[in-house]
Amino acid sequence: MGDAWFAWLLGLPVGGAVVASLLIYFGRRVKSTSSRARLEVAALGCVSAGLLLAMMVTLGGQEGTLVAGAGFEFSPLTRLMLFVINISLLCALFGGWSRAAGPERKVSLWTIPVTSSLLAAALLAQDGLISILFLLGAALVVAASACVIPTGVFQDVPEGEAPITAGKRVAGGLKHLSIAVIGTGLLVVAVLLLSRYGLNLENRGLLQLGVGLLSIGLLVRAGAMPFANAASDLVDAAPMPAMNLFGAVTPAVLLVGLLLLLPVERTLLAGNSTAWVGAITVLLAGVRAVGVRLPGRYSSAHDNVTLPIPGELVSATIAVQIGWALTGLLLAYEAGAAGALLLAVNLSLAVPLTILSASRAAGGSRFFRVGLAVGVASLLGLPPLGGFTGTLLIAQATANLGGFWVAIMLLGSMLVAAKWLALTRAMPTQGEQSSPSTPLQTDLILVSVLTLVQFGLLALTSPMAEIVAALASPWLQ
Amino acid sequence: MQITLPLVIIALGSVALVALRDGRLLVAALLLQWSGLALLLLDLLPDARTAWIEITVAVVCSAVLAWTVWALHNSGIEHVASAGESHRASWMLRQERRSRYARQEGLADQALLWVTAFAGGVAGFGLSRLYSLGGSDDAMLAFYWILLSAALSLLVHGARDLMKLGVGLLVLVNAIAFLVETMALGELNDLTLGLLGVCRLMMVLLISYLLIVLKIGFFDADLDDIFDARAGITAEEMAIVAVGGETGYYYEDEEETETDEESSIEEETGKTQEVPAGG
Repeated sequence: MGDAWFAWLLGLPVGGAVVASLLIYFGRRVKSTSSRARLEVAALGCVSAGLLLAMMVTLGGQEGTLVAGAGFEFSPLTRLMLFVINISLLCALFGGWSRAAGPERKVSLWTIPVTSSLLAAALLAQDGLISILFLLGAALVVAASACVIPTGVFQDVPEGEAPITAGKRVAGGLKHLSIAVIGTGLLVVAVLLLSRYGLNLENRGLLQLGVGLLSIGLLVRAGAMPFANAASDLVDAAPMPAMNLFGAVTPAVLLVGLLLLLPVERTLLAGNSTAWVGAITVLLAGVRAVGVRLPGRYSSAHDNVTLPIPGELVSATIAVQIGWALTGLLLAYEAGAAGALLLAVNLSLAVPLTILSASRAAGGSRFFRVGLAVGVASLLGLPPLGGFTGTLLIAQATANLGGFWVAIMLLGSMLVAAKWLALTRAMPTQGEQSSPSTPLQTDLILVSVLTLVQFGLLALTSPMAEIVAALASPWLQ
Repeated sequence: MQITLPLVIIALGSVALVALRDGRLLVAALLLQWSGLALLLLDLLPDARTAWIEITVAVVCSAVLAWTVWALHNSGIEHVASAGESHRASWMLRQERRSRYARQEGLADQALLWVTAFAGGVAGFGLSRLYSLGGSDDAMLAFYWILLSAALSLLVHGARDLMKLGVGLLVLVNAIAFLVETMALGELNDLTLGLLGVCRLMMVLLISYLLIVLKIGFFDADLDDIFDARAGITAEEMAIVAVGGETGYYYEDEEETETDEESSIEEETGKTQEVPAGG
């Protein structure tokens, strides 16, 4: 098993997260935990352990039987970058879990290790289909977490809560489940067509159909418009840990999918249509952001935290990043790949920074408002933050290609930026203090670290980009 | 292309999946279609391993769904009788409304479902001729029939019927799995086949869990009432009661018949109402 070292490097933090989560859970709640809760945690602990074993089994020696001959193997660069994405994802999930309480904490607890295990297995599998199936499993866990929350509502519903909340939660969870399954189906068919027709030109139509299904499947999984409308119930009704997971997983899924399935001769791809897919994603995200209502304060039901930012605006911002990353990966060769991967890393760090800061910023704390501004600016790709260089690399590389679609992408980005500006102006400068469940010191440390990382990313971006581009060169050829 | 026995079985199962709504008949239709799929795999593939794995997954998933439907069907009035006065009244109100809707459905409504199902079959013929993805004729026809049965189930009833939604998504993944198994360039390894089965089992377990929990919470696994309340239908028409721990919640104009007791999240008294097994 030549890649065993990689499995241990990734398996240790994932396995450690599983064990630590279970110990913390039992240590704090053993006296009050119901028998059913214990059974759930134990069962999911076993599932996590089994998935970790499956992750080890998928290493080395696995030839991609479905995609044999199409070069769908993982390069060291791919493994390295996906490893970074996975670690960033774990940070985001723990950040969300730390803010949860009650049923949400329990759901987040088992969601994190199970999803992490599935993502780890997806990253390490050499076979493209196996990776997509593991990603489907991760998506099912996310859907289950959203659907299980209604059960938490049923069991511990507060006095006088309106039934409409339960309906929205159920609707949101079921819609997310449907989106996950349909998106995965599209991806699998795309893999199938690309593997069969990627190396010959006998059926160019089927090859282009595969590329089209790939793009649509990834957009569906990322919750891009118009599919995001179907998830609006989930956005409104889900607790923040689930939203953190949703916001962080979807771009990771998108980029994992692209990195898995990209090695197709670019002359066979319809480059313009791919660029338009990215441009439309960004534009629709901007339009969606413009339509977001800003009463000044939002809260998801059963949260004990009141957030001053709407989840849909965060999702729209993430969709903008996805659009840029998609374009960069498919059009701009080495520089685009470097920029896209840098965007993915930055996204996984900027989302938890934004959410954590926003939960405290409503109380008027200048420190957390600065953290919020840093997170938002990074998500929008503004200098001098981590998201800037990725966007700049892609813009520079694609500027030579010209095309009206570049202007459309910039327009979509500007619409989202304008909405964030309007939101910050509408945010109350003083008022009741939100009362998150975590200590202030924890949030101070987390926000400080994540903010410094944003500036540090910029300092390290040039050497990182050069290394990434050099490593990507043989892979992209 | 010859119409073989597996294709006939798949066709019958697909039509039944679209046209039927009863949970027990749906599970039977699912098992019928899945059996036809497994038989076709035995004919198309040189190795019987794939077909046997498919049969195993079919039996396990169908068993889980069948148990779920049986448990839901057997929790009837005696379960409701143990509830409070307002709970029982709201349940009766919803049963009366459901019966009224059922009486209002005429032959035309029933026939429309069957016509839709047969139209899907004809469309499957056309799609397999026009858009063959590279597989054999039989495989393409079976794929499109299974795919269209899933799509029609989701479109027609999926938004309001959790059972149809779950079965539709499951059949969709069945279609994808069938395509993978028949169009793979090489022989699929055990891990791939196992993952295909595990994903479907996970979906079935999730849908079953939701059905049971909805039954526990609302005395009914029907999504109609939840989504009607979400749409703001007045309390005179229906009432939703969710039972949780020591507290429940009601519409504003209903009296609370249970006193509030502390149901702290930390305590987790676990007062779920178990669905009684058996009649």
